[in-house]
Amino acid sequence: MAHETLHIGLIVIFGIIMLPVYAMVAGWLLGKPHDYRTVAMTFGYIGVYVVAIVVGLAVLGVAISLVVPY
Amino acid sequence: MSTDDGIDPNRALKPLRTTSREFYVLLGLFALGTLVFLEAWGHQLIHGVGAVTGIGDWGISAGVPWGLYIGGFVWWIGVAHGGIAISAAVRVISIDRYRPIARIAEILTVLALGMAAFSIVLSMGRPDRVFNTIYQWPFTVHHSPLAWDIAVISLYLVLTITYMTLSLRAEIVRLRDRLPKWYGPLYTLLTLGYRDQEDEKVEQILWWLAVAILALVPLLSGGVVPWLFSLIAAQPAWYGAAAGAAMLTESITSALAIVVIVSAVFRYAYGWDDIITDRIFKDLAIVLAFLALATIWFTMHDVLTGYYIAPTNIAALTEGLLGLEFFWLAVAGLVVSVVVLFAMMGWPERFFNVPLLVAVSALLAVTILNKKVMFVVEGLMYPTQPPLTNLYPTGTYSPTAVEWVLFLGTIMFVGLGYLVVSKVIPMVELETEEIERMDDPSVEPEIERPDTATDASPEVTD
Repeated sequence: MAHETLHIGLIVIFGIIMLPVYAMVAGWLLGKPHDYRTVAMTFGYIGVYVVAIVVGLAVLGVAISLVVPY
Repeated sequence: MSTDDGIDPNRALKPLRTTSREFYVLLGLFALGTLVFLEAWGHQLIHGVGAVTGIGDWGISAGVPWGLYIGGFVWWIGVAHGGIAISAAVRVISIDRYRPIARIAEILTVLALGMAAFSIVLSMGRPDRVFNTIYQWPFTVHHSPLAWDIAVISLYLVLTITYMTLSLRAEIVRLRDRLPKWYGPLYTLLTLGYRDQEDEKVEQILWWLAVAILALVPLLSGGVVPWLFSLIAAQPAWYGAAAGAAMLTESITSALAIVVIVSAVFRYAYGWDDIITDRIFKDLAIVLAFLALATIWFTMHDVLTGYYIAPTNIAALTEGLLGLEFFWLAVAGLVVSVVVLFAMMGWPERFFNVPLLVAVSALLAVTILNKKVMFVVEGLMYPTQPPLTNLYPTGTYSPTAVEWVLFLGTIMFVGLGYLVVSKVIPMVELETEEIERMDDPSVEPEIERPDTATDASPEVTD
């Protein structure tokens, strides 16, 4: 499958799994009442939590590497 | 009270205002448990997973590379679903009756997802490389079901925490004067930029979040998690199109079982018999009864199709499964649970009581854990498909004390998490009208009913 451009993983994640998320975001943006400030704030929270998870895993990895002898 | 008048906020806020002696005892026990956990984890980190666990490689080790930790991971993922699913259902289909347990259930999702992810770290031979799972993701996502798992679990976790944060904003602003002062900075962060006008939009955002979360449940516990196994055709015990549906059923069963247990603990600890009512537990018992029955149904399918004229490798696997004592323990656990739960449903005045429901829920949760671990381990014990045919001998696996301590530690951390969270945010979701009623001098505060005050020990007012 290495020669394929569109791999199955991309279809599974971005074509299937993310469908509810696309619908949700569309609902936020198109649904009434229109209040883009609150939608932006929600995206802000999501961004902060994503960064927290990524940074948290990086810190965990570094912390463990200080304990393990290899 | 949880009546037409809504929930009495004074009683709902009790965990934030008073601390019983039992709370401190439990906190002390969990602190001790944490020390034991850290000792065991340190031992594993220093000596290596292969040296201190029953997990071993195929081939000369004749072991299985995944054991209790990965079984625990699958179990925790399943448990995580019941929580937010209950809360999301309350919002999407407006079943307000379950609002008293919605927050308890949401918190279960966050804690259980954390423990699921941590179980993976526990199982890694080089946990210091955990960050590789993130920065290698753009390359691994193309073909690795494990990368799909990481993506969807992270997505689910982020959506759940966002859901909780948004649902707390208005509540915290209105309750601010009644909340512990020392969490002030956290409350400020949670309510950053709050305006009264946002409430309606936040409700709309929460509704869509709830819809997305509900839609993700079958895609996670009935999707990427079973695909982690069923897409690897080299392991015949994992292979099968029904694996997703079966795993989702088991997952929701264990999730509801844990929601029952945690809700009952809060009801007992804070005398919330009239907030988390018997009716809620009776409804949960009915759903649990049918879910447990469906789990038996899927097990029956597995066994019958594997036992009759199945392909040779599947027949051998089924024979192996039927020879496992743990399999019959799981069957017994399911059958006993179904019998008791249907008796509760048919003759509630005779058989229904919350302690018995908690006992059955605990039995179901342990039974599903047993099934998950068996599923993971048995799939690896018999590598019989090409290209593994006759390459390796049948593996063996038995968890060591270190594995048990670390796995039980994840359960303890969830308990510890509840203790901490119950001191920071209201454990029962309160509506604006209910909070405003607290400020109304014409409404007399409800007097504590002595028969429900089970935490009768001396209390310290915070």
